[in-house]
Amino acid sequence: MKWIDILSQSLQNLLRRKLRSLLTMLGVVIGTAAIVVTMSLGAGAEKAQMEALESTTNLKLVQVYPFYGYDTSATGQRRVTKITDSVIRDIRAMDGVSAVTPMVNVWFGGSFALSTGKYENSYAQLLAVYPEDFAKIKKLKSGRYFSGSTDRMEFIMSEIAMLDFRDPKKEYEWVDYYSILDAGGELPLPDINWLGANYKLILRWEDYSQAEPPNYEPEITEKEFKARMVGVMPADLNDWQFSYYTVCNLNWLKKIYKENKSWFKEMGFEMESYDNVYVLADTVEDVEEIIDQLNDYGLQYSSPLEMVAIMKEQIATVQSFLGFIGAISMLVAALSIANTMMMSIYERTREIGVMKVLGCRLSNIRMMFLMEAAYIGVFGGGLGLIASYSLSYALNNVQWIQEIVASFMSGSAIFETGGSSTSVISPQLALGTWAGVVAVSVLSGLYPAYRAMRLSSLAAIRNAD
Amino acid sequence: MEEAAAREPVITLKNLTKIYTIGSEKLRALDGVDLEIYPGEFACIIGRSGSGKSTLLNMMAGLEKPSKGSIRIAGKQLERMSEAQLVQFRLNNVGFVFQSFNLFAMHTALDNVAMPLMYKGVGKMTRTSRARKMLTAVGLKTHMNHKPTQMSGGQQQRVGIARALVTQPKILFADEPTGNLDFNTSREILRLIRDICHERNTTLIMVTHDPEMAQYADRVVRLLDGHVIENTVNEHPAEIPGGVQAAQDDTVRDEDEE
Ligand SMILES: Nc1ncnc2c1ncn2[C@@H]1O[C@H](COP(=O)(O)OP(=O)(O)O)[C@@H](O)[C@H]1O
Ligand SMILES: [Mg+2]
Repeated sequence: MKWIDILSQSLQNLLRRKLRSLLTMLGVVIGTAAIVVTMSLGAGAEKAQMEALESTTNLKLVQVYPFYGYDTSATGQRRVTKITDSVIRDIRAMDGVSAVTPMVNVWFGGSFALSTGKYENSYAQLLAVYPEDFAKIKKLKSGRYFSGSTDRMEFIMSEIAMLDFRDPKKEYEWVDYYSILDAGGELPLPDINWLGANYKLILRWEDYSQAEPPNYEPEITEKEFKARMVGVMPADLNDWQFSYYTVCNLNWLKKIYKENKSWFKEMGFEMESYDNVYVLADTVEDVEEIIDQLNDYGLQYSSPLEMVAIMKEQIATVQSFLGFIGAISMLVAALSIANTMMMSIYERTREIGVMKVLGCRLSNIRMMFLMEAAYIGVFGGGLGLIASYSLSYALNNVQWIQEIVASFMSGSAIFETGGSSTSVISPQLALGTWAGVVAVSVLSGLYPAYRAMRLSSLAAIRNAD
Repeated sequence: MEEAAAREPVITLKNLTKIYTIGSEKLRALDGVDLEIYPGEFACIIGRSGSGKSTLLNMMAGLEKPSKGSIRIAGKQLERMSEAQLVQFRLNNVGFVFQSFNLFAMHTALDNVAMPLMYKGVGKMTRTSRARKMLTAVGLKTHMNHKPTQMSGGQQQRVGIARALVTQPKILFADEPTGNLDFNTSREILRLIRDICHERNTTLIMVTHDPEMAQYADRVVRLLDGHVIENTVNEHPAEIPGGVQAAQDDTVRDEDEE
């Protein structure tokens, strides 16, 4: 038999008993929708969480530390316990790396102060980074990145850090910047010509012991550097890496460190190696490869992707439970297909016998029944997808349905989606489920089709004589 | 028939035996049947109900396995074939007409007749045109698109005959093809089936319990309790009463009016 004839015969046989075929298909429709919609809820949760994570963290960033902790000489694992500039160069050469910079948090046995005019920022925290790499990692709100010149100190600040410029003569007034930013408001910044003003950076010795007379006092207690603010970072509460710091050029810091090495040492600041390095990957997909390379190199690291993995795992757990329920409804549908097929074969015993007498190949008979089952899967699955997309649309757009879902999901933090779509049906999910449903249908048709093929033609013809 | 005897038989049965076991009872439906049938013959198998006629026919058509003995048809040993081979054999060599017509109820006369060609893998255009010719030959030119339920018994059996012959088989088997028809229609169907097989030189083997039918056959095989008790060649078979062409058309017309 030609394929087209097998297909059209099967279709005709299916359409012959419309109501029964429809009821059987309904089972498949429900099974398909149950699987797709439950999986789409998981996918929706994953998407929402990824979006939330992406808005607060740069997934392309990997934080790198020197290898510390346990001794690995037994396992042969390489250990790099000091990150120097040559290590930085090696990291820069790794595949998928876009930018690398040490994050030098300048700790100092005294205080930094930045001042301009009547305003003084006595809580400045200095963070030194490589200028070109910083430009790739962080976006500015206004101004420009570091010029690369080390003649004068250049710094970049976020608006949160800029709030710390105060007039010392005025009464201290605490600004609840968190609430303001959370509500999307503007911060009440002091009236400074930020990018135009001249600043002074003062490094000042402070005796924390407050003994009288002081236990120890260095010869020079204060150093002063001319400074310029070149750029402004947006006020981002989630950016705990840069938003609270006065970011400056590491090359400038190195220069003044070299010039005043003994004094810095006296002040308790040493810069022999780096404790904390940031690596920016070209793409999120490169992160894994970079992590592998860092591991082989003998460094320790942490990446927000590890959090993503944990999150995905949690969602997968919930999803597999929901998918299990969907699979059970699909199993019921499969049984109903097998039942329908058996009934159809029982009814058509005579017809099948006649077909065999007329010379229809056994394999053709089997194929006709398999195709009939496949049609149930194809149509039922297709209708199931239409139902799934409609349900998904309702879940995402119809208010009262969303409220019901929210009340169900309230116990489960994973499904807190924060307003974005609850149900996401990817083409892979839709097509994959459809293919699976067709496969299950064909499988449920396997035994009935075999029975049809094995029917005795003689018994079939005789039974009405 | 001297002419027939000179040729090779198209069917040769040797010691054909069929034993059915019903509970502890063993029933010999056929008991050592030897038979030769020659190409182009019209052979009639007659006998009482339960004498083993259908069993014999079904075994020759490859629908049933013998318990013992051999069946040689068109140069092939049937008892050695698998079921799949038998299906293929039937498709290429054998046509079958049933007592209860056994048409496909959901299909038109034309589709019913085209069905065996479809099983053979013949394309839609070709098989439809061949089915049309065949239906015209059995006098159903005007009933191509009728469903079985819209036709009389005689018309349905004509469709059955057309369906059996559309593949141009060497042998046509018919098990009481007129068993469900009235006297006049029976004669018309018998004439049609005989003439059309004669025209095409198709060997016709027909089972009947009606002794009248036997007088029109070239060979009469009488069975009793699974034994061949008579095997005679009719040198001059009787003419079937009624005009050939006219009768056919009458049938169609009459039944149209029902
Ligand atoms: N499948 C079967 N199982 C048991 N007995 C059978 C079967 N088919 C036929 N018989 C028996 O074999 C004998 C011959 O049957 P059959 O060939 O149908 O006779 P006929 O066609 O001449 O009426 C009968 O006694 C019948 O009951
Ligand atoms: Mg019989």
